[in-house]
Amino acid sequence: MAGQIIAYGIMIGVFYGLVAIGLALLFGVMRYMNIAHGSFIVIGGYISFWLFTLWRVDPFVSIPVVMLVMFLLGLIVYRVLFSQLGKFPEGPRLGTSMLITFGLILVMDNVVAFLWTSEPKTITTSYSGQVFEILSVRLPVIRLAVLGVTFIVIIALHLFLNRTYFGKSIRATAEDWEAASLLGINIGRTYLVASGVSIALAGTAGATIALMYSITPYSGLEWLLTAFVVLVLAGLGNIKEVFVAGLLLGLVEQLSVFFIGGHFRAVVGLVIFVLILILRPQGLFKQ
Amino acid sequence: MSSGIIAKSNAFVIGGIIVLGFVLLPQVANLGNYILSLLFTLFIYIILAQSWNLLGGYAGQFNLGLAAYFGTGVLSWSLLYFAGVPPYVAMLAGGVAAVILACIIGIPTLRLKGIYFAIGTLALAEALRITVGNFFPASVYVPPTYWSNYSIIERYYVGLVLVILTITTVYTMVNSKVGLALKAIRDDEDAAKATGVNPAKYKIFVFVISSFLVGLAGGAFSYYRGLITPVYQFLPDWTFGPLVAACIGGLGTITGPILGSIIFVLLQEFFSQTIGKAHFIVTGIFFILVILFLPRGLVQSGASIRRLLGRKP
Repeated sequence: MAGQIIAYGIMIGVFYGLVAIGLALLFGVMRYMNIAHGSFIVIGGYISFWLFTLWRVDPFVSIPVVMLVMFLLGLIVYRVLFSQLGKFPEGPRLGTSMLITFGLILVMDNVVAFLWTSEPKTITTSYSGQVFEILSVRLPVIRLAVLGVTFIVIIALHLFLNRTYFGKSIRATAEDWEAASLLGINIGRTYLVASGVSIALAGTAGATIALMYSITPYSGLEWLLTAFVVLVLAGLGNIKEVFVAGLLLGLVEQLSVFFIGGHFRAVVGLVIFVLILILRPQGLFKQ
Repeated sequence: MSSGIIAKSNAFVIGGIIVLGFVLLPQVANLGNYILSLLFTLFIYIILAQSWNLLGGYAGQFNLGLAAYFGTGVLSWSLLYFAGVPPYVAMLAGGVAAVILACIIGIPTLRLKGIYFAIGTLALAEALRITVGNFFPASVYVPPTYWSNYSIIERYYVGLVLVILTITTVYTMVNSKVGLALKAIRDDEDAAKATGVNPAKYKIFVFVISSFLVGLAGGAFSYYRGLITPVYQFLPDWTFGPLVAACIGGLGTITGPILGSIIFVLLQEFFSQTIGKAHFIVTGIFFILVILFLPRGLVQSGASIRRLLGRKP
């Protein structure tokens, strides 16, 4: 039983890291809080769902396509909305970013409802019900595959941030945008790329959600809150700690499901979240 | 200075005339159920937007958990009414229940600052919504006697009284020492502390008042609705609508949330008759445009638009 709880905790926890990583990246680099992160996740899920139902594209094969489409969407969102925030003074900028992305939720969720109705949608593949059993621990194939996808994303993101010019400029800008700007980094373009990558990561999470759970036009808020919990556990502004924080949340949630029952799974996460906010607002990992 | 006093007394006269107009309106004209219901909805939105504005606009604390307090008022009213408590007592109890909730979960979150307060209140409201959904998954039915002497005009007046109560409360508070303290906290909390303002005390005071008004509105709403599904009134829509209304009209003003609510309710009504929930798309775009280009809201933008045109205000 303990093995089962730990295995599920790890699989779900790492996936929670994937849900949060895009939001953490955007906040870490630009100091904007994208309240619509969950709604972007949902859109990624619908794109994957569409590719699957219209052309029978396997949802794991279509992930690069989903990422590309979402990357382009991220570029558009930056050009149309985020770039406007530059003209606001530093103080109200964060609050304004929350308000405009909040307006974006209203627009996007209802456009999605208009396109795909509010019926919950799930991608059911031929291997959806399959389970591996090792030492009496049951491991669903889909969850394992999502774990694999997440590891690929982590490695790719690591290589991108450490080995490419854009990745390095994103890190430099996150550290100190004024110094980065003095060194000749084009801040506007860095923000543009960061926004695209952030939304592409949200889309990836969405594609896996459509496989493991179901998506509805209004489920974005639920995933936004999951991302918030992970972000606050990791400490706002930290990117590297996100997956560890996700893992922690996954394990705690699975334990709570075992002891209290599944109905209160989300409640446990949210209450822990508020306690952490009050007791350790700097996150768990900062001294 | 004297012109300020004249402007103030003018505002009182205009306010009095508007109130009198709303009091007499159902007596002189036969408005019908549709218009009266629409006005009642507007009243509820004004109460919610104004209460949100008290903490969000004047004190700069973005409470994203308003729905929890509204839902508490709704739920308390219907449970008490079902148990045989008279409707107005149940309404008052809704306000009190919201205050109790504010004391239990609201006050700890007020220790959080800025963005942490916003996401903390949202998280708690969602946790409460899921919990309520687990305990009350189905609709709560009122006894049949509720419908036998149902009068929409009575609900209209209940809403009107609560709106007047809310606006006078907010007006009195922001024009007193409390209002000054709130603005000081909003502009710079540390500086406010240094000059002898106790931010925690004022924030808690305002939070309790605003929760009470929201709880009352919840009670009035279920008195108007009768049949309710409790969990729907805990949906974040009940936070987001008032927030949008207050921001469109203008944060930190009395008239802003009123104008914003009128626009919001009209947009909602106009588009709901044509294309379902699509009114949110229009409202959302409108909201984004206001935030980006008229960040102080519509009522405070007259001067800045004139200034843009190069004329003196």
